[in-house]
Amino acid sequence: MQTSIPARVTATAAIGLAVLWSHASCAGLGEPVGSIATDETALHATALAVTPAQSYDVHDLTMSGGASIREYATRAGMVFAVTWSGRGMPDLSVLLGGYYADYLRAANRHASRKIVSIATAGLVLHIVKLPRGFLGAAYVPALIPAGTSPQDIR
Amino acid sequence: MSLAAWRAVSVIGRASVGFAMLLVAACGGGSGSTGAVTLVSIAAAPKSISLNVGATQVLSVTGTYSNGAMASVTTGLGFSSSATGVATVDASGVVAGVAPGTAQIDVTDGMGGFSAAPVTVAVLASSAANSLPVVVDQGPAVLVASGQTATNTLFASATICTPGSASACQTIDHLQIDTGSTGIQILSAVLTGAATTTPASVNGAPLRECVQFADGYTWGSVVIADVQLGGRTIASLPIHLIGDAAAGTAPSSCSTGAGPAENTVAAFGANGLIGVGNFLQDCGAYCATPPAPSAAYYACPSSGCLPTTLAVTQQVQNPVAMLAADNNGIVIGLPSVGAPGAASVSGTLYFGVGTQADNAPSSAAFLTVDPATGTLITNFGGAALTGSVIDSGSNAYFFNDSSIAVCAINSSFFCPVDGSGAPTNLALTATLQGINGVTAAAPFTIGNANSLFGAGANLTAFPTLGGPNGSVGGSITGFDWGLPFFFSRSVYILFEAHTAAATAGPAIGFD
Repeated sequence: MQTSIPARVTATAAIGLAVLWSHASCAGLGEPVGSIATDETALHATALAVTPAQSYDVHDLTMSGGASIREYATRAGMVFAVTWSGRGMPDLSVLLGGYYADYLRAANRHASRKIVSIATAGLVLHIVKLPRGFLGAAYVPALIPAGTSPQDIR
Repeated sequence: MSLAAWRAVSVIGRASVGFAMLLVAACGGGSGSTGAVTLVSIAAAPKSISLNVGATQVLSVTGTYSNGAMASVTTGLGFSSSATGVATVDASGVVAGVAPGTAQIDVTDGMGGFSAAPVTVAVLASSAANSLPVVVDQGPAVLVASGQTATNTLFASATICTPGSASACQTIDHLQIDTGSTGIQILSAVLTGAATTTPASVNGAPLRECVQFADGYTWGSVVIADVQLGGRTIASLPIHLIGDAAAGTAPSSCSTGAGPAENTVAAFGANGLIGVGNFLQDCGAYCATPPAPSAAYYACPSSGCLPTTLAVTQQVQNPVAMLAADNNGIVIGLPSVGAPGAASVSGTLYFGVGTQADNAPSSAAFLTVDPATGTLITNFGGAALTGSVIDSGSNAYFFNDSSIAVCAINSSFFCPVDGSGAPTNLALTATLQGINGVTAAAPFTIGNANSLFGAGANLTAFPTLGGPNGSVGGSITGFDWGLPFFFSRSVYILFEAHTAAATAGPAIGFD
C-alpha cells in the first residue's frame, strides 16, 4: 500500500531545513514545525507547553473542546509523531499533514466504524472511536530520532 | 465475499407489525333526540393494539349521549374478531393474541344498533412486547447491490411514523444495532415519504448534527418522529436524519479532516443505526455546556450553520431509555454460531434489565464502565488495556497481539498460521475488569480471516473473526470486543442513571 512514503519524507525533510529552528510547534506529521499562530488556528487549539526530552521536544496543545493533542518534534524541527485524545476529533488533514491521504485510503475500506489502523514501514496509525470520545496516535518510523523508542510515544 | 467488509447490518422481515392504526371515528351522527338523553355513538379504546401471542388486552367502550355527555358503556355490547386465528375477543372485550398477523375487532351496541370504529390488533411474531428481533445477514439491498456485503453486523428494523400518527409510518430494515453509541440515525434516502418527520430547531433555527466516527462522518438534520421498536412505541423521539436535502452540505468544521462522508447507504454500510449503548444521549453534558463543540450540534439559520450547545433533553436520545417501561437497559441474546460461520443468525434484543422474566440476569457479572468514556479494562497479554469496549457495532475482536499474523490482503483482520504456514485457530483468553473491580474471564478463538471469508460466499457471521487494534508506540490501546463476543451469550447493557442487579449503571454484564 503506502509505498510512496520515502519520497514524501525526503521532500518534507528538505523543506524542513528552511524553517529549521522555528519555535513552537503544531505542524502536521512529517512536516516541519511552523508558525504556531497558523497551526493553532487550523486545529482550534492552544499551545500549553513544550517539554524537551532526550532527543526530541514534546508539544502539548489543547483543543477548544478540551481534547488534547501531543506532537513530537525532532531537534531539527520535524514532527515525527502525534497523539490525541478527548471528545472531539482534531482536523486530521492538518494533524496528519501529507499522511492524511494514507488515512483516507484506510478509512475508505470501512473495515470498522470504530477503528482505523495502519501498520506499514512508512506509517503507523491508530484511531479508535470510543462510546464517547476518540483516541488516536500516529508516527513515521523513518523520522524517529536515534535513541528514541516508539514506546516513548504516548 | 468482498473484503470491503462492512460493518454489519441485518434485517428482519417484520411484515406489517407496524403500528396498528385506526382512528375511532366518532361514528354515525345522532339518531335524533326527543328531549330525553339518548346514546348517539360508541367508541372503543385503544384504537389499535400490539399484542404478543398469548397476551391479552381489555377494550373499553365509551358512549356519547345526545346532550354531549360521555360515559363508559359496559352492557349490551357485542364483540367480534375478523380473524380468530390471529386474535380472539370475548364477551367482555378481552382481546387475546393467537398467532402473528393482523385482525380487526368490531364492537356493536346490541340495543341501539351502534357500531364503534373497528379496533386493529397486530399480533407480534416476537415473544414479548419488550423485545426486538435482530439478525446478522448480508445487509440492506442497496449495500448488496453496490457490491459490498455486511460482515458480522447486527441489524433490526424500526418503524418510523409521523409524530402523532399511527398510520403514516414506514418500516425501515437493516438498522445496525450498536452498543457502542447512542441514538437512532437513519439515512434520509431510505425514508421514502410514508412518514413525515418534524424538523427540530434550536433558538428558532433548524437543528442539524455532525457525527464523527473513526473512519468518517455523517451530516444531516435532527428530526422528531414516533418510533416503534418491537412491540413498543416511543413518541416524539429526536433522531439524526443523515444526508437529507434540507441539511445541505456539511460545514467545514464537520467535514474538514474528518475522513470520508458516510451520507449514503453504501458508504454508511446500513440503512441507519440504532445506538443502544450505556449513555442516555449521543453527546450529553459535553454538548450542553459552552463552548459549543465543533462537529456536533449546529444551529443553521439561513445565514449558515454554526456549532451550538444543546440541552440534553433536546439531543438525540437512547430510544430504549425513552420507553415508558423496561427502560433501564437492554439485553442482546444471540445463539452460538458454528465454525467457520453462518449465512444468517437470528436473535433477540430485550428492553430492560431485570424488569421482566425475559431480561432477568442469570449468573451474569456486571462490570461498570467509565462514566465519561464508556470504556472498561481488559487484562490481556500482561497489559491492562483501559480503553476497552464491548461493542456490537464492531465486527470482530479487535486487539493488539504482535504474535498473530495480519492478513496480507486485508490488514484489518488476523490470519494466524501454524508452524507449517497452514491457517489455524488460536484459543485465547482475557479477563474483563469493570471500573468497580468486578472481573469476568472471556475465552475466545481467533480464526484465519482468509480461510473464513473463503469458506462460503454466502457467509456473513463469523464467530472467530479478529483483527489488530494497532498499538502505536506506548499510546493507550484497548480491546474492542466486537460482535463475535455476543454469539452464544446474553450481553446486558445497563444505562447510566439506572440500577439493576445491585449495580449502578453505566455497566455491562454477560454470561
